[in-house]
Order: sequence, then C-alpha cells, then structure tokens
Amino acid sequence: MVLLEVKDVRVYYKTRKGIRQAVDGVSFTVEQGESLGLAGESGCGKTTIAKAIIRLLAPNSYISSGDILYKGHSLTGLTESMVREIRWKEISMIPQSAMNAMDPVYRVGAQIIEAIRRHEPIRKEEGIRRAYDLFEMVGLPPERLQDYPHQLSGGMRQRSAIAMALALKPSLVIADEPTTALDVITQHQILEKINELRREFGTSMIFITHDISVIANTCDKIAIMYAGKIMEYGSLEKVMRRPFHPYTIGLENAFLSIDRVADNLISIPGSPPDLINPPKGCLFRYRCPFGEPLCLENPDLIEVEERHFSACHFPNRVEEFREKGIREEVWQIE
Amino acid sequence: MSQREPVLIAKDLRKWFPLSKGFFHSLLGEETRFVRAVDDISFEIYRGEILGLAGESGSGKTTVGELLVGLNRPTKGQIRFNGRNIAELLGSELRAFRRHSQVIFQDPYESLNPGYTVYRTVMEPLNNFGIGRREERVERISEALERTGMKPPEEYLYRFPHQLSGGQRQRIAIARAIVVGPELVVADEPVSMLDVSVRAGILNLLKRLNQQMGLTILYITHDLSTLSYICNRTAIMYLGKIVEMGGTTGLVRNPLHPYTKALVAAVPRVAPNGAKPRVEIIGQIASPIDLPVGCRFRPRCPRAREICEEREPPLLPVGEERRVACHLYSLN
Repeated sequence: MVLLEVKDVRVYYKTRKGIRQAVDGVSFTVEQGESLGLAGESGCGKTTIAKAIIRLLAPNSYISSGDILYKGHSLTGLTESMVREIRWKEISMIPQSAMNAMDPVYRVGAQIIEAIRRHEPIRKEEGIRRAYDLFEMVGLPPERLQDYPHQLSGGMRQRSAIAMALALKPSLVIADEPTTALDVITQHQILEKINELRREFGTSMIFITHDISVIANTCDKIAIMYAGKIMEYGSLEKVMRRPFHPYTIGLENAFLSIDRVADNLISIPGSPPDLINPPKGCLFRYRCPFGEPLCLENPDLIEVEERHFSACHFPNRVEEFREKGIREEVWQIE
Repeated sequence: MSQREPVLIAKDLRKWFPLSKGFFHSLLGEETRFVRAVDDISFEIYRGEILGLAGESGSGKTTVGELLVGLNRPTKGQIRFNGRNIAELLGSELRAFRRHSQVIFQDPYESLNPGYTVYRTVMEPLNNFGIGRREERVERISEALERTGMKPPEEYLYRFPHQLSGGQRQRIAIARAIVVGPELVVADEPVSMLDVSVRAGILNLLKRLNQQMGLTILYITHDLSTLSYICNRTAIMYLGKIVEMGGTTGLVRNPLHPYTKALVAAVPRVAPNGAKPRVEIIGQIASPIDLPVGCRFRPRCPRAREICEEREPPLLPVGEERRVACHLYSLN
C-alpha cells in the first residue's frame, strides 16, 4: 500500500535576489513499511522536500505546485490546525540536531509526556508510564527522563529525539541526518536501534543524508537528488550496484569506504548551479564529462529497468559511463 | 617509506586542563581537578609520511594537533622537532618555529578572514615570518595556489571567501599553510565539512603534496573511512591515550585493541548485505575528568579481566609494525 505519494512538487524560496527553485518537480512514493533514502549534497533540496511533507517550511518558502498525498489525502491544502493533528501522530521527524527539537528549560520527560497528551486524552500517570517505556525502547535509562536536554550527551539526546518521534506511533518517520553529528560507535548504535524499531512496528521511513553508507545500512529504496531534482531513483540494490546516471556514478567513485584501498578516488569538479534562475536543460551538464547537445533539453526521469529510474538522456550509453567513470582523467573537464 | 627518519618525536606528552573550581571551593582547599585531554603519550612522525590520528570526540586528538604546532603548551613532556624541544620555546622563538609546522582547520568558512582577498590571506604568513621581497612573495603565492589546484592563480587572487566554494576555500587554507614551506602540516578534519563530491579532491591534494613535495602530514579525523585512503600509519586515541598504532592497512584489516575493533566494525559499509563484523562494546566514552582506575577502556570492554582494573596497560610493540595498549597482548 502506498503510504505517501509526492507528485511533481516544486518548492520555491523568496529571496532578495529572486525566486530560488529549491525543489523542482520531485516525485516519489513510500510504501507501508518501506524505508526511502534521500541522498545528495548540501543545497540539493533534500531537507526542503522533507519540510514540505511535514509542513515545517520556512516563512519565505512555499509549495508552488504539485501535490503530497498521505494515505490518499492531500496534505498541501490542509490548514495549520489540521496539519498539527497529523504532525507527530501520523508523520514525525527526527531532526539533525536534537537540541533544536527540545525546549532547554523543560525536563526531557515532561516534554515527551506533553507531546503525547496533546494528542491523546490520557492521564499524567499513563503519560509517565509511556515515556518510561519509550526510553527503555530506545536504550536510555528511564531515570534520565528527569534530566534537562543539556545534561544528556549528544548520543543520548539523539536517542531521546527518536523516543519523541515514536511517542505517538506514527506511520511515517522522517529522519534528517539523524547521526551526522555523532561519533561512529554512537552512530552505529542509533542506526541499529532505528532498524530494530522499524522491524518491530513496521514504520515507514524517509532517511535524509549525504552519507550513502548510512542509506546502504537502513533503506530499501534510494533517491539521488541534485540541484532540486531527482537524478536517479530505485531499489537500493539496483541504484548502488547498477547506477545509470553519471552523477550517481561519480558520487560512488568519490565515496570512501573503510574497506576501499583504491588509489584513485575521483572528485566531481565544479559545484552545483545557482537555483535562482537556473539554466534550462540538465542541471548536471556543467559537471558531467559525457555531455552532448541534447543535454540542453531537460531530461525526464525515465524507467531504465524495472523499479529503477534515471534522469539522463542516454541510458543506452550506461556501459560506457560506468567504464569511463572510474577514470580520473575523464572527470578533469575545464 | 625507505628512510625512516623522524621529523618529530613526542615523549610523555601531557596536556591537562584545570577545571575552575570557584572561589569558595578553593577556600576550602579542595584539590584542583583536571581534564586529562592528553595523558602522557609518546609517538613519532616520520619525515614524508601521512600519520592518521583518529578517535571519537573527546579523545584528545585535536589537543595533540594544537600541541604540535605550538598553539597550546604541554603540561609536561617533550616535543622534539628536528631534535629541538619545542615545548620549551617562548616568544619570538616559538613564533619562528611556527614557520616549520602549519595547521589546516576543519571549517574553511571559519578559518578564512571574510574581509581578506585570497592574495592577502596567502600573503599574511609571508609577512609574519618576513619571507622574501615583494616579487618573490608574489611568486610564492602563485606557486602555492597552483600547487593547490587554484589554476590559473590570477583568476583567484582578488576574490573574497564568499566568492569561493567550500572546496576552493579549503584549498586556499592549504595554500596559506604551505606557502611558507613547512616541514609538517597538521590537518584537523580537513574534509569533514565538505560535500562528498569535493572531499576526494582535497584528499587527493593532500596526498599529492605529500608525494610531490615530501610534505609530512598529521591527519586528524573521526572518520575512519578516509584513513585507508591517505594515511601510511594510524594512531587510535581513546580518552587521552594512544591505544593502538601501526600501518593503516594492517590496523584496519586486523585491529587488535578491543576499542579499535569496535571502531572499525561500527563504520557503515557501502556494500549492502555484506557480512558485517559485530560491534561489541557498550555505552559512551567516559569523561576525561574522573578516569577509571586501571585501563580506561575497561568499563566498555567486552574482554576486561581482573588485571584491567588494577593496572593501566602501556603501549607495547606487538609484531613488527604495531603497538597496542592492552593486557590481552602484553601478557602473552
């Protein structure tokens, strides 16, 4: 069953210099129990799309077109009070910095209980019991419910943010770089916990990160974003093992792994285009070594094999891309 | 590495930061407590190598870097740089020494003066050390920019930081470090603020400077996945101590210390469904103020024994290339 459907969404920011097209025609679906990874560099629009779903966009931004359907109902037209009903109860978010999710002057426990009671008419004792269970579930000693946010370590805060996000048993959890600020061992513990809880409750997830290896360990599906658009989209296996888009191929060759002793790591030259009045055509063409005149036209996201989509005009040249893409000199375009 | 000549030797290096205890407590004559950021460690950096220094936040790796470039004074111990103990240097001597040991910081958005052009930024250290006359300085600046891949240099000389991308800013920071011709560069998390697609470029640049100019680099990071790529040897720190040290490839493939094992196992792998080693340790890094007696890793160690509560294990050689601070190896 499709839980969430994002249909051709555009999110624009009003800035002093003009309209910034942060998200430009993005579509994807999240099935019940499925986990989708949104990967991309800073400024590619991955966080903006998440904020559009949960309706926490900055005041100077707006959804200019497209629709977001949750369990078949449109979220874009809802009033603020209707959104508040859905937020946390149906769709919740684990932010990058848990410090931002919490009020520094209230005890962590009080904040979780408050969040539950805002949505469910339960008594305080019941709320305390629920908060206690939640802390145990995310692997925190329940006595830490008495602490203020600053008394917890970074990993503990992130765990309590997860507890808060799961407090109302939402169907969809959006995690925005939930482990980026953490050390590897803590990151590992948190990711294991998220995977475990997902298996247990069948929660759907959207995982936003620049770290492909995190997605490889948590997601079923992946969307690679660049300059406000999805470049490649499909099952984790297919996109990672058989990438079609030159950007994905470049990213994978730029990606370091602890097991990798390769002596040629490739960087993609240049930087993403300015999204205020972006040029027409494929936005990756300035950094792509395989460009052709046709790239001046905007490529659609086309199905290149079953459950695998790529926004490049040349799926038939993929063998060549993969073969040449591992050579450093190929990417040295000026 | 053919000739193994150390450019720097740290011996029993210690940096304890006193905790302010407040007026009232000092009246009561309470003992001052310390954050034991670096706690009597010894190591060497060979000329022409890239040594990795890795560990979690709070392990003391950044403090080590600061001590080596003279940004902080050790509480105790020696830092022999080309035979001279720089821990004793003061004033003008210390300033003069900094020409030989430069630093690159994590965040190129913070480490460059936003009001300085590239030219002025890279000129600054030449001014400070009184290197060269005008023409020579201009030449040195162009050369440093070229070496860091900012080609052609004329195009960048009069740009300000806000006109550069993150990767380009870090290249400028590197140019500023190498323009004075240092023997050692301490790079403290030089790529962790950068996007994946440009990270590789900076790592390749450091590697190239190492290979072509023979620049010695101490590469400080919490990201183990970058170690195998650029470091010849690696030291792993935990709560102010080096717990394991050796050739990077061997250390990553066959870690010996239980902490290194956990650290390596915890790194997410890209290959989906691949066999993953299990992470066995529990809990969080302890506070470097009230350290456990004996081995400081003991409270988290899956293999702790009685002796680990009694004695702190010294860093001892195990095999040719490796040193480990763990009783599991020192007793056999």
